[in-house]
Amino acid sequence: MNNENWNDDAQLDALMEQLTVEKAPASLTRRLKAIPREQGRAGSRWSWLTPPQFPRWAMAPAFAAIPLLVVAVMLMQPRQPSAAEVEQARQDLIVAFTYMDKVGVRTGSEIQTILGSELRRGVKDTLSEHLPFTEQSLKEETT
Amino acid sequence: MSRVFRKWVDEYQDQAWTLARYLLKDPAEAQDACQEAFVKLWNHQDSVDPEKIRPWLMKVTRNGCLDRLRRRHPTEELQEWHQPDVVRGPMQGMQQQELGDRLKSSINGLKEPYRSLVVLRDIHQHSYEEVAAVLELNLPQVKTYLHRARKQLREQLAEVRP
Repeated sequence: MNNENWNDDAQLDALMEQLTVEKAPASLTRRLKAIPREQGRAGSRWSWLTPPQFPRWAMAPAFAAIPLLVVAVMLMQPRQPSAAEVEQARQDLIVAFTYMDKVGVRTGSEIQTILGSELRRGVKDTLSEHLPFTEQSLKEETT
Repeated sequence: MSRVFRKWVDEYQDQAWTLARYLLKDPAEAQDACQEAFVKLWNHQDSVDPEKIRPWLMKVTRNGCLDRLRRRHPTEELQEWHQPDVVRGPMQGMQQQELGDRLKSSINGLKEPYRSLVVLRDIHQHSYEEVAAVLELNLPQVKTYLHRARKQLREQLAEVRP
């Protein structure tokens, strides 16, 4: 065999055939086959249908705890208010809203007063500069 | 589901192992890479198309190996895969076995994606389409790169031939 023989793929292919897929070591096989056990059933879509892998002795106390859990959850539920409490809350709410309304109206009128006087002063000052008679007419108006 | 998974282990562990060995060279790291790939398979078994388990697994194995290679220290030298106790005789007397070892060494020396291409196509005998899917290449690229890889191998082997 000389160098020219390497120019075609046939020689290489013949050599390639020697290179087969290597068998995985037994230690790797053991590690891979242990994956389902180690990873649990978390990855399975139907995991919620299958019973978890608890020891049998642990199942009885677990089932006994279920009614206790239900009672505890019921006790922790918020208490329903009585009709009188609901009525009282409604009245309180009405008072609160009425107060807020009044405050809103008063605040609005104060804003309007302040803004109005400011606007009037601004307009008056500007006009006085250019039209002196405006000052006089305003004085007359006020008297 | 566990039974199906065990079947996948039986069918594909050798291929994943061989690919990881070629890419990483270090057997312990190759085992870790294989295990990681199969753990991912276990965790994604519901979302992977059953018809495409093999390319999916090869892709995950390869990506895991490449991540490990990237994390390696650049100066880290790894032992060659082929048996270190193989006695290299005079070139004139090089036997087929020795040539095989030389070829394996040459494949190890290829850069990515050439190395994965040769392993997947020439050693694993995957179809071109499957190789393209694993390496995220198109078919013409696969053929071109494979041609280049083989050319490099031929040249390297020609150097050691009498």
